[in-house]
Amino acid sequence: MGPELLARLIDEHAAALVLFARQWCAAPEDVVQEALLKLVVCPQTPDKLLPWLYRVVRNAALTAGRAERRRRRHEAAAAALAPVWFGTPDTAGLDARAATAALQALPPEQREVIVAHLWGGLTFEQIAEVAGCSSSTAHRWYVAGLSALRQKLGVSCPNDRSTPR
Amino acid sequence: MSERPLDPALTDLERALGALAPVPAALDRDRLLFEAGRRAARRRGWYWPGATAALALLAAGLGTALVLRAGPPPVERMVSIPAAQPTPSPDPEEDPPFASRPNYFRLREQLLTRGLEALPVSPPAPPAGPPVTLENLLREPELATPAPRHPGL
Repeated sequence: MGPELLARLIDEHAAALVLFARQWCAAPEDVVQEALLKLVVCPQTPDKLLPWLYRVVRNAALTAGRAERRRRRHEAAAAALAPVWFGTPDTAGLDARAATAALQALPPEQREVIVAHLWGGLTFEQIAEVAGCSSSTAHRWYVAGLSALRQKLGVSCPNDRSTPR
Repeated sequence: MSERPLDPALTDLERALGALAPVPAALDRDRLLFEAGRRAARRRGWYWPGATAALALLAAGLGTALVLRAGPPPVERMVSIPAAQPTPSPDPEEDPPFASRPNYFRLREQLLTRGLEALPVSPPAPPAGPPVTLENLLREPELATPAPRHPGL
């Protein structure tokens, strides 16, 4: 794998990968960096590069998250220290902090599918490979997650903001 | 955004969520590229170190085997050697070779103790020829050599 492809991956997908890893661990940058380095030392570049990368990031983030929870299992306020996941959008839209909180409140499988599809750009077939489920299941989780988010955020249309419930 | 049909309300929410940009990754791009190159080089460099280590192990094993190799088992054989017979020391007076050949040291000792009389008696001289006279001496060349060209001299 050449440095040009690696640089392109970093530029185009690093932010989404970090967001994807942030669901499970507190040091997502380290996880993404290790995943990219693992890709570099792979004897052959995987055919399905993006699903492979997301799967590696997912596994590493889950492992890192478990280790973090073991380290600070007595710290109840760990979730409150989680940073905001999104920058403030230029256009008037959802509040980044509220969106982060709503996403964090979702069941893990729904959140994972939404993040991978909306910000990672993966298809449901690719998400199914990453999450180890069928594409129909992934789509079902996606719809359920969006519905839950709509209820939590109290919006039905981005141009028609309403107050959260 | 979704490849499958969604409820319009969900589609709007989907668009709104998609407009949120993830926080930029706090990755040091240059450091990551450098580390990637380092690891790639390390991966490619395993062949020669591995071969060197294998050959070193082989050489060490062969050397150890050479040092610790046991020799052939000893063979015990009974060899009978006849006892050597003591040989009597030869008598110097009766040793024929020693007595027959002239002994310089013995002759010297006898000469030193007894003088010239110790010399062995020489064999008798052959019978004497005609007495040596001047005439005989002058005549002999004439018998042995041809006659001179100038008899007058």
